[in-house]
Formats: sequence, structure tokens, C-alpha cells
Amino acid sequence: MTDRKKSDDRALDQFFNAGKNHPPEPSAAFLARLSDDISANAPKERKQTQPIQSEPFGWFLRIFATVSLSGSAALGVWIGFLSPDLLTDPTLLLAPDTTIAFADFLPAANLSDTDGVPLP
Amino acid sequence: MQNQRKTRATPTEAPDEALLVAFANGDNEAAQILLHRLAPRLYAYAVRVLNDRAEAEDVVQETLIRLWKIAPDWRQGEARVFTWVYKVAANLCTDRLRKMRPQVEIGNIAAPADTIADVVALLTETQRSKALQSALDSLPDRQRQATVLRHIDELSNPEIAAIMDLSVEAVESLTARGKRALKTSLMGRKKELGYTDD
Repeated sequence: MTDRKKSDDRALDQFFNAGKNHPPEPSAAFLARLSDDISANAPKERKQTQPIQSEPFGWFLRIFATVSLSGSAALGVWIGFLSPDLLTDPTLLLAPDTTIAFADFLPAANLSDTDGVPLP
Repeated sequence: MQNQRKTRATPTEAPDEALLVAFANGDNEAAQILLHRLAPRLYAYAVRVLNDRAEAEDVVQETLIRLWKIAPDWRQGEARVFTWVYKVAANLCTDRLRKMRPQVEIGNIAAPADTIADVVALLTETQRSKALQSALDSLPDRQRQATVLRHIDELSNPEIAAIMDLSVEAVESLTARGKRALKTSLMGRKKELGYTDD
């Protein structure tokens, strides 16, 4: 390496050093603007999962379903309790000469015998 | 209300990546530390490459906004924040250079000085700094970017390669050519700027 080249390298290093010692500096106003950007771009809170929208009259359908189910169950128990022969021999239900009256399910009311006369 | 989600004091010596994750978790103070760590360097880099302070401000602002937005998705260990922001800034500078060319006006780079003695002491070096800027501006864009990153920002060749999407060999070639071109440009003004060959 020649003396001339070394000298040029040293001089170039001085230019680079001058550049490092005198960096262009951002103004305070610009830094303040950047600072404001932090708040404006801060990550948002994670959104909570939205509940599934209920359909119109959904509440009515749910009540109806509950009442129907429990009502049917209660009716089934009631029938089984009062007319166990219907459960032990289901063919009675299908026999052509079998009639089942509403009164069969009401033990306190023997309507067929009263003929309109009040019970004693 | 999210500005009030500061959780605890963030240590100023924390790594960039930890500060970014803290910001993603609601700690705005961490982002402030990161801002004051990164912005001056990015700004100096952008001014040297673009030779335009307003454009440099835009580049830095855009770069940092992108950083804040990506914070919640930042995956630690995959990249360094420092390299990432330089890469974004370098790309934004390249985009602007394509639109700005040709331009030859030299920016006015003021040096802070408090006293007459300081002004006298700084005068030659300020001139050097301006001359350097002028010479840098004469380099092709990629050469200028690589030269600034290597010789002023003092990044390693692998870091520059990552920032500029080049091979290390390509970076070495760019910086060597840049240095030669700077010498040619500056040596003619050597004595004018107060240098001697001793």
C-alpha cells in the first residue's frame, strides 16, 4: 500500500468520523410527533367473543319445549299410575271394542254412573 | 383508556425485542424507550441516504408506525427489531429515491454549537460532514445505502446483507466501490477542507 493510499484512507476515515460526530438530529417537535404515534397505534384490547345472537322468539320456543317435555312426562306417569292395565297389555288400546273415556283417568269422578244426579 | 395500561416500570437497558413485546402487552413506556433508541439512528440514516429532512422524517415515522402495528404479532427469536426497522427504512428510502431522482441540492446539516469557540472548533468538521454528504449524494443509491450502513452506522456486512436483501459478497462489493467513489469525490477537496498529507 503506497503512502498516498494510506493518506487517502486516513482522510476518508476523518470524513466518516465527521459524519458520525455530526449526525443529522431529529427535532424535538418531530420526536413529539413520533411519541404521539405510540398512543395512536397502541395494540387494542383483545375483543371478547360475542355471544351468539338468539333468534327472534327464541325464549318462547325454549319455554315451550321445556313445558312440553315435562308435561308429557308427567302425563305419562299419570296414565301409568291410574291405568296400569293399559301399560301391561297395550293391545287393549288397539282393540276395536275398547273405549277409553276421559273419565278413566279421573279416579274421583265416575261420570258414567251419575246420570246427571249429584253424588251423595 | 388504553394509554393508562402501563403495568410496571420498564428497564431502559432491556433488549429491543423485550421492549416491543412489553408494548404489545400494553406498556407504552417501553415503546417510548424504543422510540428514543431507534428514531435518531434511523433519522440520521435516512437523511444521509435521501439528503432531505422532510422525506427522512416521513420514512422514520412510517417505519415506526409499522413497528408499532406489528408489535402484537412479533415473534421473539425470529428477527431482530434493529435489523427489521433498518430494512423497512431502507426499502422506504429506495422507494423515495426512485421518485426523487434526479436531485442535486445539498441539505443544510446544522451542527449544534453553544459558543464562538465551539463554532470555530466545529467549523472544519462541519464542513467535512457537509462534504461527505455531498459526496455520498453523488453515489448510486444502493452504493450510498450500503456505504452509510457500513462506514457511518458501523453495521457488519451480514447485518447490511440482511437489511438490503443481498449476499454478503454483494455488500462487500458495494461498500468497496462506494468507498473508492467517495475518495475520488473528496480527495479533490482535501486541501480546501483543511487536510494535509502529513
